[in-house]
Amino acid sequence: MSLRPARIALLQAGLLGIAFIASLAIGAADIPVRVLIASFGSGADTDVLLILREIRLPRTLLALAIGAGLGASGAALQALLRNPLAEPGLVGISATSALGAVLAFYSGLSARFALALPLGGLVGALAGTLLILRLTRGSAGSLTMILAGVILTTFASAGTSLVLSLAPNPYAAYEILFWLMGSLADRSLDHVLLAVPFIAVGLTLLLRTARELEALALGDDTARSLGVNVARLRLRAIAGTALAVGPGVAVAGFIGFVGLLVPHALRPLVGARPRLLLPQSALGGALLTLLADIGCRLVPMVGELKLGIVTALLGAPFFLYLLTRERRLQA
Amino acid sequence: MRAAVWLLVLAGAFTAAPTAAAPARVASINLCTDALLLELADPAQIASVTRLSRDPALSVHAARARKVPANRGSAEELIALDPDLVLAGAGSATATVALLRRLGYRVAAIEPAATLPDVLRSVREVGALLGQEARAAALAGTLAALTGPLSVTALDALILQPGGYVPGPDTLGPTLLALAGLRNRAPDLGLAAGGFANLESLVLMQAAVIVRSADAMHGRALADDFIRHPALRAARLTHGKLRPVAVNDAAWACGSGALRAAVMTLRSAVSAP
Repeated sequence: MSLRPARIALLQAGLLGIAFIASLAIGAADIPVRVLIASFGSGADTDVLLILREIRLPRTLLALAIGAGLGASGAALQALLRNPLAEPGLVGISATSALGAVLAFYSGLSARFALALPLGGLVGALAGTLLILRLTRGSAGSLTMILAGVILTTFASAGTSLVLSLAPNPYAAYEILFWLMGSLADRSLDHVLLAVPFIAVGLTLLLRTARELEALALGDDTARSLGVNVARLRLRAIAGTALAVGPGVAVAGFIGFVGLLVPHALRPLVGARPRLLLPQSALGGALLTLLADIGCRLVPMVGELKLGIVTALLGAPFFLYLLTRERRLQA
Repeated sequence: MRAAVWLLVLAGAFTAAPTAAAPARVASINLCTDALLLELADPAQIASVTRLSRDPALSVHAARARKVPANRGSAEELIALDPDLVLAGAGSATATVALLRRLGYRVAAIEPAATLPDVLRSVREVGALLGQEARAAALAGTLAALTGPLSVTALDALILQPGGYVPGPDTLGPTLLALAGLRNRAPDLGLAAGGFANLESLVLMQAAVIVRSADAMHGRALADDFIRHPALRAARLTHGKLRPVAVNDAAWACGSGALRAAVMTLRSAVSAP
């Protein structure tokens, strides 16, 4: 049993490596692998190298970072809210992040001050996390949490659509789908620089709360008796979640269900203890998001499938399965 | 004999007068007919144009449009204005047009232009409707003079609108490039009919000139990020290609005299070293 999590982590890392290379090899321009390798070797600034560095690498790095943030924050929220159905998308945090980012972007604030975009997402995520904790306080029931999440998501998404409809630029209204269904198409290294440092800090914070979150599973009082400062732990987990989710949404839109799918898929393999589940979920989230993004590029259509559509198509049936299983267990 | 001729002329003048008389008050409910109305009519003849035309991002005649009453294209406003003639775009605002016609208003639906002959036709058509045939003939003459033989050394070019949209033959985009003496590369991207270009293909494409929308729009949109993507910038720096020329979309969005300015801007930008 003790070896198993290490093996799973190694397996995930190996798959991540393969997916990373696949992600650099697959794109809208059909460039043979032979040419890709040759352009790496030549070192000259060819068009092919340009495509790799400026288009495919940014989206790959963003998929990894955003996916890791979503996976880890899903596992953390499930421990924090003591609810197996918690995840940034379902509880409304992703939607409030999108609203914050949309306000920062379309007001023109981020044009003058680039960091306003991830900060807008961060503020939105913080607001969403605090709200969902407040709304579910004293009630661990799934129904309350899901309803609160639905309402928060509906409200924030309506706000996002409203801001985009009222934006002075006529193209803004066409961008509702990007914000509500997420995409990594045509992102640049600028976006990587804007989001990834925040996500890295958030991930670090979350991973460092893992041990204490484990104590929290036993109840606030037991955790306190084990020497855990529960109020401070909550704050750290909230800050970690907001940092891991908000800036990612700010550059890639709303990508749902990763934080739900990944911890649940990994729990049978590594157990439910946050100390093991959190880092594994970060790896799994990165893997799932990157694979989903590669999938977006492979679907033959004009343009590209939105990433959030792929994750929702995978995640929603899984969510229904979890919901019915939970009801069966309660009955 | 001479008297008879005079009589005929007089009779003709009298019988023609009611139909040929210029409508005193003309309203337009379409951005493109706005442009033609503003270019061809006497200022006193213009009852109203759409609010859209007051926006410099959408119309090159914004300054002139601000001097006349604006409408939102609703039938209610037009009934209040009670114009002698309403100009509308064929195929757009069909419900409003049908309602106005039912109420007895004279509505002329002008076909949108996608080629230079289309433009000349709509200039002459609106000129005739307004009783400004001479002005229309002069404008059509200057526009017709834009055609010239495509030079052998024509540069490859592509029009790129926000979000990476490449306009197709249902717009004046391809006509604009041809009139500026440029070869349209859209078909090489599989976008002969128009559509969204993908960034990777744009980097690989060996076009000399990218005609991109001027930053006339208010506020920001993600669509602007596409044109400014670092990969396009880098392709330009390392290969000296994909030279961007900014042209206000509003200048060629409609078949009107504004097209001439767009062609001239593009010609001078391309011939500059």
